[in-house]
Amino acid sequence: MKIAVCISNVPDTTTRIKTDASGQKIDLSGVQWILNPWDELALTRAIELKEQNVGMIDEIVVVMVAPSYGEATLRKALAVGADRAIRIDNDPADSYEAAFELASYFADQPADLIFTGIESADFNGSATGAMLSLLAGIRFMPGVSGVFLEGGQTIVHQEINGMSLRLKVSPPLILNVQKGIAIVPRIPAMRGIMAARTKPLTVLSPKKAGACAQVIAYESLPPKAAAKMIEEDNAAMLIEVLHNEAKVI
Amino acid sequence: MKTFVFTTTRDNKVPRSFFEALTYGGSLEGSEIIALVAGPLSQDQETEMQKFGRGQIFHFNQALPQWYDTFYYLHLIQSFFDEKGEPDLVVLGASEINQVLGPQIALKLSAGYVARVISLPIQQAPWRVKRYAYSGKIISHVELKTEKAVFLLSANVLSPIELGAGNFELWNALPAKGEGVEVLEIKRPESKQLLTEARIIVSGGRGMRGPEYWKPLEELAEALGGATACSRPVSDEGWRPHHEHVGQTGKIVAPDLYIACGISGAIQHLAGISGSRVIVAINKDPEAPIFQAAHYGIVGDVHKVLPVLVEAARRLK
Ligand SMILES: Cc1cc2nc3c(=O)[nH]c(=O)nc-3n(C[C@H](O)[C@H](O)[C@H](O)COP(=O)(O)OP(=O)(O)OC[C@H]3O[C@@H](n4cnc5c(N)ncnc54)[C@H](O)[C@@H]3O)c2cc1C
Ligand SMILES: Nc1ncnc2c1ncn2[C@@H]1O[C@H](COP(=O)(O)O)[C@@H](O)[C@H]1O
Repeated sequence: MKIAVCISNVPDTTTRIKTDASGQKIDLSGVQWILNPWDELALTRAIELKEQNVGMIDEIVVVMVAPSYGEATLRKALAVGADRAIRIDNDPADSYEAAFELASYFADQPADLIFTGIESADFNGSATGAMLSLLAGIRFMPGVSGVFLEGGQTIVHQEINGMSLRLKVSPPLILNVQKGIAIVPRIPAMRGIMAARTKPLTVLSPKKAGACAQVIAYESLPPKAAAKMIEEDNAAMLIEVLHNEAKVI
Repeated sequence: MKTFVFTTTRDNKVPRSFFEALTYGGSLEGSEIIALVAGPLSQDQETEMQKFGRGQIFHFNQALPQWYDTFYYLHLIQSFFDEKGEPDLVVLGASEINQVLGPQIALKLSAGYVARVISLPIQQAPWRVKRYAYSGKIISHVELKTEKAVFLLSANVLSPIELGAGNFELWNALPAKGEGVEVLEIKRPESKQLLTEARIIVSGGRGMRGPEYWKPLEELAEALGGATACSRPVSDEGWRPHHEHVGQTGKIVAPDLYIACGISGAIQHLAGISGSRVIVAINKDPEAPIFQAAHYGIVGDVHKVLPVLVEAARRLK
């Protein structure tokens, strides 16, 4: 069985996002790049599955559509435990473009389980997995909070719309992961970092379908007035203010 | 311009996000709404919908699949388009189901897709809208290269307004189910309200000290008719259930009122609450970053403040 994890390369979650002088691009200087938190958890789960089901999983491939600066993040994924990395050399402008590249890749190099994250921390497109599924013709499992292997079948935990389910499905599947898929992300150990240096990282040329959407400008969030403070000894006032002034209760 | 709006029902009710989407669609010039509501409904909901609709609302009155069968929903919507014609614009209210369907409908229609939309279109040809990006840290203006568009709205970006008399009628289709999935177990979580739809949320962080101190927080939520939530370490520690976790890696919420109790206000937490209309912070540290995001604040001990708030909230009723 082969597992693929789609990895989005995103600015560290604590990064203050600001635009460059033109106001039309994000200033990426000094940004520290990380694996999108969901993808990091998906990768963690993939590695756990490989460890728990000895001999069942032949390899874990991580796939990223990104310019060359994405490679440091891919190396990190290798250091954490992926066996092989693929970078498709394109800088996608929207989820469609990313999904299209991924679909072309998987048409050529199928995998049994393909992990995607519920949302990337940069575009927040929350679309790539669902689009990939239609483009590649592979069943989509949204809201995946757990995955287990049992006798050739995949047991998927799905949490969606206030329901929590346990399902038995057979691969191939696209698993769109969310909270619960793994709890603590794996971090690279020294041995992993050494091993990552010799693991294969292949660069593929893109198909370039072209994006459907394009960012034409950025705007900062509207400034917020300072909070109105209420004395601790007068806490009951808060309820009154929320009722009469803010009118939210 | 034909504008399609879709929702599923839950507990025989239509979520508020549907009315937001109807209002959005109905506010656009030259927009004629055709909406589809899938799932069982209570009687009073039908009258409610007629008030918000401007155009036609169709009701597919059948029980929905137990699991999230994307094949089923896509097939349903495709049948609807086959019969009623393809729309030019699709407006989807914020729901977990629409979040999955939106991108797939966009592909079917060769339309551009934009999630987390926070404004009415700045322009219609080509489509231009504002949306959140980088987990709510910045707003981007997105332009579509396609003629058609699918917008997934952020929750609470506009208040539903009654647009007039909509037409409401039944619509039926032969549903097709995705094969090869066996449901082993179904559980409904304890909470009745979906966090993503709650109007009022009372949320606790590590400053609550431990799970045994949650009672006043729950009482406040109850007195205000709201839901309870928490920060990530609180759910990681198992003090509270996972589905209560709010933030970048939890749920993104947009209530009218978010009360943060003993939450420091880390950037990843704020990423999940920035769409809230009013944020209240209760924290003993006046320097806590949560106060930067808050509209009202109390510097104090949650254990002292919460019981007072519960009292006052109960009196209000
Ligand atoms: C990739 C990544 C993703 C993350 N995603 C999320 C996420 O989705 N959601 C999330 O919440 N976090 C997330 N985090 C964690 C985040 O960085 C913070 O660590 C977390 O939000 C802190 O939780 P807290 O505010 O409950 O605890 P703390 O930061 O420990 O804050 C506790 C607060 O309580 C106050 N306090 C203590 N005692 C009292 C008292 N008696 N009365 C009043 N106030 C008191 C303290 O002054 C302090 O401000 C993420 C982190 C990373 C790296
Ligand atoms: N450029 C990319 N390369 C590989 N995977 C991606 C890329 N962009 C998005 N993904 C995957 O799609 C998920 C959702 O991304 P998005 O649609 O941007 O919110 C991510 O968690 C990744 O798993």
